Amino acid sequence: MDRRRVLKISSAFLGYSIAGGTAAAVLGGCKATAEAKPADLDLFDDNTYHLINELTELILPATDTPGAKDANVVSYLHERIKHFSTEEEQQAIFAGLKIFDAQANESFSKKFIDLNSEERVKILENMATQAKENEEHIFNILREETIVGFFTSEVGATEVLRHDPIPGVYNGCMDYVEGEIVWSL
Amino acid sequence: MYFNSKGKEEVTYDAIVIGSGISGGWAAKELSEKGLKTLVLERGRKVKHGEYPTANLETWDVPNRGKLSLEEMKHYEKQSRTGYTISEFYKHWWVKDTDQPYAEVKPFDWIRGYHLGGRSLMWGRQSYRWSEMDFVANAKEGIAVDWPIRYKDLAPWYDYVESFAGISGQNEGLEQLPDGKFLPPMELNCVEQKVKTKMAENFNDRMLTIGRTAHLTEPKHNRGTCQFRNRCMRGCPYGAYFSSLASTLPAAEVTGNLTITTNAIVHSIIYDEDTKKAVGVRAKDANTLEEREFFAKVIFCNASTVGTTSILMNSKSDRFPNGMGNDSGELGHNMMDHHFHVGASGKTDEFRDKYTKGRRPNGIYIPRFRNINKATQQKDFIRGYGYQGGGSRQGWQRNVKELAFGPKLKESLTHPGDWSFGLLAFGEILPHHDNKMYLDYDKKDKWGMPTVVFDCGLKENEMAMRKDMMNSAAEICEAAGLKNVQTFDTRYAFGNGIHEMGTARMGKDPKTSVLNKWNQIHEVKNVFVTDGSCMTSAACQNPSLTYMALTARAADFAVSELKKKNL
Repeated sequence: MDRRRVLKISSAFLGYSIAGGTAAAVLGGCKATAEAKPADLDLFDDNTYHLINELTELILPATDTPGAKDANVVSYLHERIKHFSTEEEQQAIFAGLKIFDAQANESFSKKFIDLNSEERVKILENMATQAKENEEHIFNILREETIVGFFTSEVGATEVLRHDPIPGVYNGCMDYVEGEIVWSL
Repeated sequence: MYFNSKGKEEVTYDAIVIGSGISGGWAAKELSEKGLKTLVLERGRKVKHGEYPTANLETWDVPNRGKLSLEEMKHYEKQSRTGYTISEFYKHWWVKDTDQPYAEVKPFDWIRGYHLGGRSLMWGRQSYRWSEMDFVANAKEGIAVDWPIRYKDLAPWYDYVESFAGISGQNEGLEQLPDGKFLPPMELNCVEQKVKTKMAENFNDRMLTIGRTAHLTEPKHNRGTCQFRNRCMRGCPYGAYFSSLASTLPAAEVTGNLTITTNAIVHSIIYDEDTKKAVGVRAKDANTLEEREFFAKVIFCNASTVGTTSILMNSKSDRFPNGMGNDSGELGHNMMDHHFHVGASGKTDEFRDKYTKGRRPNGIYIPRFRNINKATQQKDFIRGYGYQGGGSRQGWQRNVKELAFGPKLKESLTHPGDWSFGLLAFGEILPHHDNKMYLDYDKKDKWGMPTVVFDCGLKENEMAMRKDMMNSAAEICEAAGLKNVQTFDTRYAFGNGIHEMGTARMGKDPKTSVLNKWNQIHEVKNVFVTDGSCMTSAACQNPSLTYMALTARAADFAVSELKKKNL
C-alpha cells in the first residue's frame, strides 16, 4: 500500500493529521479502509467487499502509477461475479474467498482485512503456491479478473498504459527503447 | 391478388433488388447508374452511414467492458458461436436468435444481421480473386457440375469492382491468386517479414503476402483512409472500408434513380404464367405485417445465400410447385462454406528492440499451394486451402506465470512481451447434393415466414485436408525458426466461416443447376441471383469480391437485355 493512501485513510480514521514518515509506524499495518461499501455492490457483504478490494490492490498495487483501487477494480469484479457467473460459479467463488479468512485466522488469529501488509503478503504467497496446479483456484480467478479489470479501465488504459485510440498509421517494425510502455489496445 | 391500396404505377420500378448487403449494394449501384429506376427492399431497419453508435466508445464506456451478461447472451446463443460477433460493441448488428429461430439437423452456425447494408458492415474485408483453376476444377475432377464461366469472363469485372471498392494489396504474379487493381499494401511487421524470408529460403511452392483487404490506403470518392483503429465491425465513421453504406448505396443515390424501402421482408417473387416472367415481389412490413406488392421488369436476388434460397423456395406457383427455378431439384442443395479453426502458432525471442504502432485491421495471406500442379498434387485430398494469420508483440494480456502478484507483476505487464506468430487455415468445401437447407412450413417465425432447417456436414475430403492444414502450418512455423510451435484443430461447425454459398448454383444445364452463366434463373430470365447462393464451387478464397464482380457483370447484362427487349 502506498504512502499517499495510508495517510488519507489514517487521517480519516484517527481524526488528525500525522506527519508522513511516522504514519505507517503509528498504524502498524494496513488497517482496512474505513470507507463504506458502495450500495450498488449488493452481492458483497462488507467483509467480502473489503477483502476483494484489498486483494486487487495486492495483485496490482499503486506504485508511481495508479493501482487497482484507483481503478475501482472491486466494482468490476462485482459486475463479473453478478452478471457473468452461474449460481454454481458464484458459490464456488464465495467459498474460495472464505479460504483467505480461514488462513488468516489459522496463522494470525485475525480476519484477512485486519492483517498488516507483511501478513497479507504471506497469506497471498501461500495461496499463489496452492493455485499453481489448479487453474480454477480462487487466486487465479481473482488474479486474472483483476488484470483484465485494471487494464481495460480508463485509469489502467490511459494512466498506466499508453492509450492510442486513433493511431492513423501502422508501423510494423519501429524501434523499441527498453522500458517503453505497452499499448493498451 | 394485388394488396396495395396505392395504384400499381406507384409501386412499379424498372428493377427491384432484394437485399442491401455487399451484392445488393452493387446491384443497386450498377442498375441505377445505368438509368433504371431501382427499388432496394431491405428486411431490416434503416441505418445511415456514420450512424454507428459504438464507433468511438472506449472499453470503459460500455457496460461490463463490452461483455454481455449471461442473461442477455441467451438471446444470442447461435450468433455468439464465432466467439467474436457478440459484444456491447457489435450486438446491434446481429439478429437475436430468440427472434429469428432456425433448426439444425447437424450443427450449423447461421450468423447474420438484418439492417440496411447487411453484413457489408461486419464483413472480414479480405478480398481475393478466384483463378482459372477454381473455375475449371469441377469439370476437371468430375465434381458436381461445371461452372458456366471461366476466369476471363470475370477478370474485367474484378478490375472494375476493385477499382471502385478500393482493395489494398500486393501483386505477386501467382497463377492461383491473380493480381488485381490494388491500392498500396499495408505493411508487414518484423516477425511476418522474417517468416516471409524464411519461407522463400525453405520452400519453392509457397509464399507469404500481406492480406488483400477492402480498406482505403489512399482516399477515394469522399471516403477517408484507414486510421488503423481496428474497430471496423462497429462501423467505420471514416468510410475507410468498403460497405454498402459508405460506398455503393451513396453512388446509387446520386443518380436519383434509387428508392430504398426498409423493414420490407420479401415473402416471394410473383410469377406470371402468361409471360413466363416474374412481375414483382410480395413483401411484409416487419412492423405491421401488412403485405405489399412491388413490380418491376427485372429482379435481383441479393438477400444472402440462405435468404435468397428461402425466398425462391417460398415462390410457389402452378409452374413452380417446388419453388421458383427449382426444376432441377438443386435449390437448397450443395451448401458450402470454408472450414477452418485449424492451424499452428509459435513464438520468437528475436526483435526485442522492435515494436509496432497502430492496429492493422488485416493480416498476412499464404495463398493455396496444394494441388496447383503435378508437383503439388496430394494423395489424400483434392483442392486446397490458404492461411490467414499474422504476428504481433504480446501486451498486457499475456500470462506472466512466474510473477504471481505485486509491483513486479504490474511492472512486467506494462512492457511488451515476446513476438508471436500464428496461421489459421481456410479450406475449400466440395459441393455435395446432400449438404442442404430446406424450409419448415409448420414452424413459422413471428412474421409468419417458414423457418430454415440446415443439414450439412464436412466429408472425407475436408477431413483429410484438415490434417494437412494443421501439419503444414506447423511446418511453416518451424521453417521460420519459431519456438514453442503448437498446432490446433478446434470446433468448426458448418457456417462458422460465414461464407455460406451454393444453394442456387450456376451451371450450363437447367436439369442440374438453377442459374445460367449470366446468373439468370434458367426458366425465369428476368430474375437474377448474384449473392453467394449462385456459387458452383467454393474455392478457398474469401468470396465477397467474387460476388461483387458477378453482380456488376450480371447487372450490365440485364440492362443490355432490357434495352434489346429480351427481358
